[in-house]
Formats: sequence, C-alpha cells, structure tokens
Amino acid sequence: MELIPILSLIILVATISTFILAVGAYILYKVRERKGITAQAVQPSAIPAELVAPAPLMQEQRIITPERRTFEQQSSQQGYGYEYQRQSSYYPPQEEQSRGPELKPTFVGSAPTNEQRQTGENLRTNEGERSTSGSKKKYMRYTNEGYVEPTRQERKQEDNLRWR
Amino acid sequence: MNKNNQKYQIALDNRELKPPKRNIGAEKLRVIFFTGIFSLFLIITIILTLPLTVLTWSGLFVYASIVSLVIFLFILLIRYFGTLFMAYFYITKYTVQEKEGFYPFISIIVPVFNEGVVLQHSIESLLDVDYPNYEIIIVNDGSNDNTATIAEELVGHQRGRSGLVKISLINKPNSGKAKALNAGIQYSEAQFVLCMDGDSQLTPNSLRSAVRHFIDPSVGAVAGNVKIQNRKHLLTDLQALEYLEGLNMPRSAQGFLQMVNIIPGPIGLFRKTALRDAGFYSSDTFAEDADVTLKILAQNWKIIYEPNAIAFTEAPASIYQLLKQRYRWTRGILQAIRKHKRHLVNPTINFNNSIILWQMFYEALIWPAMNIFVNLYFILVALFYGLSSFIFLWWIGIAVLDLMSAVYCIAAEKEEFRLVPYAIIYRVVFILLIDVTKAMATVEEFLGIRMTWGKLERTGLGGSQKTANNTAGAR
Repeated sequence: MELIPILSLIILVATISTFILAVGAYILYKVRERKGITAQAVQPSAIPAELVAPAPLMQEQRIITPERRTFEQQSSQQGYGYEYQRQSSYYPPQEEQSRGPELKPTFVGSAPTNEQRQTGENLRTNEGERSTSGSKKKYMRYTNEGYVEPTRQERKQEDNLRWR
Repeated sequence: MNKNNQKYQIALDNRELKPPKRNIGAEKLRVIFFTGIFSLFLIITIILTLPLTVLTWSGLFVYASIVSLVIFLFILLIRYFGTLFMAYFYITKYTVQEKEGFYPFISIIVPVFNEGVVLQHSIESLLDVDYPNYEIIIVNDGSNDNTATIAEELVGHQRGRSGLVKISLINKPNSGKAKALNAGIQYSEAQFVLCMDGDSQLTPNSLRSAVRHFIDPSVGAVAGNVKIQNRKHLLTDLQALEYLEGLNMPRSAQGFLQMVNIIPGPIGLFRKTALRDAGFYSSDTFAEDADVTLKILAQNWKIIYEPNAIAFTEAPASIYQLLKQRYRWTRGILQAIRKHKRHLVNPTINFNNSIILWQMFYEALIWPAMNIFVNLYFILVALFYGLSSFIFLWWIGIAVLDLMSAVYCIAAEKEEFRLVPYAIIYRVVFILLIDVTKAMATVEEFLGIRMTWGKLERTGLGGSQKTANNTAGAR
C-alpha cells in the first residue's frame, strides 16, 4: 500500500476527530457553565476597602503637603528628570473628577488591630497629655516669676515702645 | 500580621468611563438586513450570470472552491511572511538599538482572586527583580480562600535583590480584575505602573528592560513577553508553542510598527498619564487588556513590545479550562472591537487604530472561519469525492509553514527546541480546536448570550520560575 493514502487517511481521521472533539468539548463547557450565570448588581460609585501597609521607614517619614496642581503643570515645572523622583500626591483637576475615576483613594480612617483597640485609649490619652505639656513648655517663657506666656512679654515690649 | 503594619479603611473610586448605551435589537436588525441584502445580491448575480458562462452548477462548485482556496492560500502566505518579516526586522532593530538606562519609581500591581496557591511564588519572583526603585501593591479582589491571609503575611518592607521593597495590600470586595487593577493604580504614587496577573512570575531583568522605552515621551505602554511555565504536558507544550508562534511573533511584528494591539494581562507596563488619558481599565468587556490597549492607541500613544520583559504564567492543563479561557478571550476581544467600532469604519479618526482593529477583526473572526471552512471543505472532498490526498497535501503545506515559523521563533527567543515537532500537529489539531471555540463564541457574542468571567483553576504546579525547567528567555 502506498504511503500517501495512509497518511491522508490519518490526517482525515485526525481532522474529523478534532472537529468532533471541539464541538463536544464546547457543548460540555456550555452545559457546565450554564449553572454559574447570575445577575449583575448595580455598582456603587465608591466601594469601601481596607489598606494594609507597612509603617513608613525613617527616610520615608515626611510631611506631605497636598499641592493642588495638575500632572501637566507638575511635569512642565520639573522638566524631563521629574520621573526619577518619587512623586507626591496627584490630584486630578475638577472636570476630570466629574467624568472618571480619581487617581487617589480616599482615606476614611484607620482600622486598628485588636491589640491596638485594647491599648489604644490609654495610648491616645498619654500622647495627648504629652503633646499638650510639650506645647506648653515650648511656648511658655521661663523667667524669675516662673513660666510666663510669651504674649505677656511681647505685650510688655509693645507697651514700652509706646511709652517711649 | 506583622505588628509594624498598619491597617486603614479607604474608599475607592468605583466609577468608570462608560460608552454610550447600545440598542442591541436595532444593531442585530441592521446586521441581518445588510448581510441579507448582500447575500441576495450575490445569489441573484450568480443566477443571472451563470447561463452566460460555460459553467454548470457542479462546475461552479469546483470553480468557486478553487478560487476560494487560492484566495485562502494567498492570505495565509501574506499573513505568515508579513508577520515573519516584520518580526525579523523588529528583532534585528531591537538587537542593534542601544537604549539608555532609565530608572523611575514603579508600582507593580498584583490583582489576586483566589490565588493563594501561587501568590507566594509570584511575590518571590517580584522580590528577585533586578531594579532599584519599585514597590508592590497586592489587590485582593474579595478572595474566598486563604489569599488574604497569605497576602497579609507578605505585607511589609521585604528584602529584595536591590534593597528593601515595600509591599502593601488592598482588600476590596470582588468586582473583577479591571476594578482591582484600577484600585491599585489609584493607590500607587508612581508615574509608571506594571500590571500583571496574580499567577505571573517575572524574570529579574523584566522591569529594567521594559521601563527604558519610556525615555521616549510618546511611548504610553510596553507589552511584555508571556511564556508558559507549566510545560512537559501535551496541551501546555502546544500552548507554549502557540505563545511563541501565534502571540509573540505577531507582537514583535506589531512592535516594529509601534502598535501592539494587546498588552498581555500577565505583564504590561504603563505610563500613568496614558492610562489616565484612556480612562483606566473598564470592566464592560471580558478582555480588559485588549480594551485598555485600544483606548491607549486611540489617544495616539505608542505601544512597544519588549521581548526581554518576560512573565511566566500558568497555562490551562485541561481542554475544559483551555476552552473556558479561549471562549472568554474571543468574546472579550469581540466586545472590545465593537466598543471601538467607530475606528473600524472610519479610518480618518485614527488611522493606526483602524489598522490595528482590522487586524484584530481578521484574527478573531475571519481567520478562524476560513480555517474551519477549509478543513470542512477537504473533509467533504475526501469523503464524497474520494480525493483524500488533497487533505494530506494541505496538511503538509501548512505543517511546513508552521515548522519554519516554529524554528524561527524558538531560535529568536532562545526557547526549547523540543517544541519544534509539535508544529506538525499544531495547525491540524490544536488550532482547529481553538478555532471551533472561537467560531462558537463569535456566534454567541452575536446572539448576545450572557457569560461569566470563568475563573481558571490554578494548580501551582509551575512553582517558582527559578525552578521552572526551561531556559526560556535567557537572552
């Protein structure tokens, strides 16, 4: 028997089998998938989410002042090399916000862990006290009369000036 | 969870740029009307002109078959050689061209949905990336397995190849990959974002190779090179060959024109400005990567292909999973084409986009139909006319072309040569299987039958790409 008819038969059988396999597998796929179809819910404009992020490293700790400027302004101010540095927050212009998603998520608040929840109140109180006392010491002036408010001193200087 | 980590409640913007509402009924009626008119015109022409020729009805069948086959062969050869030549030009240009180093800060966004099995490997591969300035943002899209726990364990400043890498996690309710990526992009502060899949693993020089293209300010995105990780199985090896021959080679050809039509989901690097111009990812199609690519191209941004930015991904290992994936791809691409159809019919809006859309239309609709038709034709001729040698000759012609392409692609990408013999059955078995699914999906898309996303099952058998038993991409 010649080789070509045998190979032709093999190819013919392979092609027909592939067709049958493809159609069969497709029908099976549709039957299995039919169960999973559910109606889609209406999507809200904002969705709540949780962010888990590591505490910032020392070099990362800096006060970020939100500068209301567009990306184009930013790039024109800084020239070509701006992309080498990490950017501060980007705020899209007002008209863009109205037509599409924002570039920054809105922080709603912190989600404390259980441990933090237990000790949180005490810590907050202590921190509050420390900051208050710290601010007092920072802004009070120590004189022979004890701690004196700087405003009193300033007022005195002003009086003196006026007196002269 | 690491004690140093902090948890915040955030609100993510869930809005999307929506295309105008469609009147599906009117669209269908219009298509039926025009196709009906066209078919009627053809039938009337044949009936009126046939008596004027020397052909009979049976002769017409033979004559039409020969003409159809000649046209088919012509298109086939143009498609093969056009793609091969352009891919060759691109690889040559790529090899010769020197580009300076460019190291901006990059956010890698890893959307995950029930990827607990593979997430650890993915993050390990990301920490091994040879790049000095990047962070990782994992977006857990409402997984209901242990993904959230695994991801929380990974959060922190992890030691990477080039220093500490910050890993953050966003836990959000399930709403699809597009919205998960958008959430990560919203949180990111970088000007460049790398979007990938939860099961993808990057090679160490991926970022370095991809990001240097952005030194050209007109480049909006860079498409990476996707390779199959779980090989040594007939179906996955065939897919590995398909990725090389059917996806990466055309992508190289498109890279030559700087108009890549699909930035693959497993690895795509974007300039955030380009994404913003495009309106970010949309969840109204099942191929968000194709859609966002078309939107970026429509805004006149260039898209480059970077063969050295390699991502390994897990391929479906069963026919059911494969069909599920291809069904979603086909319908998603058709949805994306339909969404941008004004560019298809009006080349004056953006000529480049029109070319890309016509090419996608051809690959998604015309080519599968032609392939199925030609195979059915040869089966018919063999069964009813006894001309079985034709199908053999057809197969041998196609197999030679596929072998030639396979050798070229494997050599160009320094891939495994053991994949070459698969080219013998690639067209006649594998592609036919895929094309039948594509045709069915096309019919369903036309009929407007509803579909679900269809989450693929991950086995995690691919393991880490360090242990993956192949030398692919070692350029």
